[in-house]
Amino acid sequence: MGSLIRFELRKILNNRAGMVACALALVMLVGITVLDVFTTETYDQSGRTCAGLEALDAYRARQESHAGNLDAARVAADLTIYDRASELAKSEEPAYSSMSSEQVLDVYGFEFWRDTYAVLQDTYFRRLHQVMLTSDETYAKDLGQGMAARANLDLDHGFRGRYSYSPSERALWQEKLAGIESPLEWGYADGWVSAFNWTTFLGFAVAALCVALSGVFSSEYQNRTDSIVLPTKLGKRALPRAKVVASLVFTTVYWWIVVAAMMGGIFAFFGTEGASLPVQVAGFTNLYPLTIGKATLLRCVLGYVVALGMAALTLLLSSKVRSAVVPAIVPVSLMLLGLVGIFFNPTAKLAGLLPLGGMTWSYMQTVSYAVGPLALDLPKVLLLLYGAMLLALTPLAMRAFTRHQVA
Amino acid sequence: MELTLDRLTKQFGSKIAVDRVSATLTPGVTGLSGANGAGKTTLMRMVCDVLRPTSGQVLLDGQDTVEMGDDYRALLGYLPQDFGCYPDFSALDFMRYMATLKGFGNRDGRARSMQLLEEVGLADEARRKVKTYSGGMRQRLGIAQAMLNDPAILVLDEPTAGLDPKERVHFRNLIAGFAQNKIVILSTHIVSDVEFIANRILVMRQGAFVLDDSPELVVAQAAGKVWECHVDAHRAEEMASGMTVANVRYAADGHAVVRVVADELPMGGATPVEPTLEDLYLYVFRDQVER
Repeated sequence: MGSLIRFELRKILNNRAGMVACALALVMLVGITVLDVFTTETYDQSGRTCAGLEALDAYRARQESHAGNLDAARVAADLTIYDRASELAKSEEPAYSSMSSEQVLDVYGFEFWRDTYAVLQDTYFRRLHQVMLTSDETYAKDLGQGMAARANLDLDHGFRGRYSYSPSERALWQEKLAGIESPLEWGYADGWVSAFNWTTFLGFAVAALCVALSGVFSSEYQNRTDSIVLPTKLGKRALPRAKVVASLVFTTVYWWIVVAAMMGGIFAFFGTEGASLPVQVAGFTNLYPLTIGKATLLRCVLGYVVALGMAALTLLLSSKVRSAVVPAIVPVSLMLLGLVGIFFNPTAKLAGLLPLGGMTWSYMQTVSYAVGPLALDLPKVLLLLYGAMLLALTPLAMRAFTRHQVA
Repeated sequence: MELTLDRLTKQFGSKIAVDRVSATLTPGVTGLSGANGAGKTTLMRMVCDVLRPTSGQVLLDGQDTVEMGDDYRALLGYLPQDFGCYPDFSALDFMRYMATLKGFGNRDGRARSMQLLEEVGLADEARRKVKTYSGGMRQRLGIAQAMLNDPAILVLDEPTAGLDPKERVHFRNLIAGFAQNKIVILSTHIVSDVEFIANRILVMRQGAFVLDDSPELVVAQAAGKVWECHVDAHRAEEMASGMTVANVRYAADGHAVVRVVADELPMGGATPVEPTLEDLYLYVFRDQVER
């Protein structure tokens, strides 16, 4: 069996279109993360606009300046700074709102810039203000209360204002909210936040995998090798198994190479500090009681299960048709539909179950699905769905190949 | 050992490709002959368990070969009419892959692969990629893979297509030696492939066997149906367009000797001659032969 698996792996690697797709996806994913670094622009502590690595240093310095526990006193003090900055800025409207960092410096001087622009443009202060502001324009007592109020508002409003949360779903999200540590710890974790966000695009690696595996079975029909491999001792039992194993091995190796390359690139620029900080460093509206490090790794593992499920779908399609084009096009189309569908309210929740849609939202958004009293968040649903696809579709693919008629 | 075809039928939609054929095959070479579309390849695919019959069975010593599954396929060697290879594999890689599929371990598979590549004259080209092979080389590679597991049942569909005369003779001798205690089914349009080595000839027409006997008795069906006519070249051309002509031999003086297959004397002065297997084929399929 080992020899057979090695031969089947070799056949996968000989699929030029598939290998080009995989290489392109890898280069693209690493490339966009690196490009993102070098196209980043911000202001440094002196108010000067900077880009690239200097911008990363400036972000780091800003985040580190906010490090610490966000208890009630700390939050109140930060909100006071924000409110003062808002008032000062308002007093210089309308001219102020259209000014760049350098312009504010030039016109108003460093102190004014430090007390207004530096605060109002700081993501930390903006997010804090947003989550703490209640519906009657006052501030919540503490960050926990602020997050709870925001969460309840979102749950009342429904997902995207269209999909109401059932009682079981509300209970699910309330439970998660209650699990978030308090007070929240803040600090520098830009490497993990960046990795957490960019894992969305790992869906393109899944698409490349589907192209690579599209010919596993169908190429035997297309190349007319079915007539010589099927009438052999191992042709109808061990061979289809070997094909599936080789495909899953390829999926596994490729997936984790892409993850490692992408993460490696990100951490090389941003560093790995802050893995144990809460995932709320990526956004206060995130209701998951996880660290940013764990949430990032969970997204990678979830993506891996999605990749395995899509590989199984590709193998099934490959076992049924003569051409390698259909087994490639169908999964890739599903990926793109998911990416597009999440932007339209009527299709959003369905699109969330497709690979790119699901990976965009998992462990980020308050997306759940309920059947009566049973409510599951999106990651669990995806795990079940794509896990079931892996378990159900691979035997069907093997069976289809075994029963294939050479005519 | 007996391979029994028991009322095998294969229907594709409304077309019956193989129509209730029955035969019991024993060790030796069985030549399977017939016009294009007669059903030979369909029959062979059913024997090799890559095409499910609409009805009927293939039995090996009384056991249904479909139920035997892997055990039956372990006894098979099959060279399809139009088979593919893996273009980026070398010949040796391809043979080792097929050897693995036939149950060989790494070392034994490699040794057996080299032995057969040597046998078919491809040992020196073993490391070349199959996509660089000529048609004849690919055909020899196909023969080699079919014989890897020293199969008890060897099914060859047009095995000598693309081979030059010397290679065909070599192949014939290879099969003759191989078939001592094996069942060999050899489908071919090239009469000389089976004329000298087959123990039995099956002639297939429109999905059914129309002749099933030893080569001598099959050829004897055409006894008294083959004639030689000595005519001028112009007359020879007329005869070629109006009769079943097996051969025309022109002499320098404008004279021609025409070999005709016909039930009755084709013209005055024609002399009956001993039929060959090719004459028999022309006689059986005379209504399908282009004039």
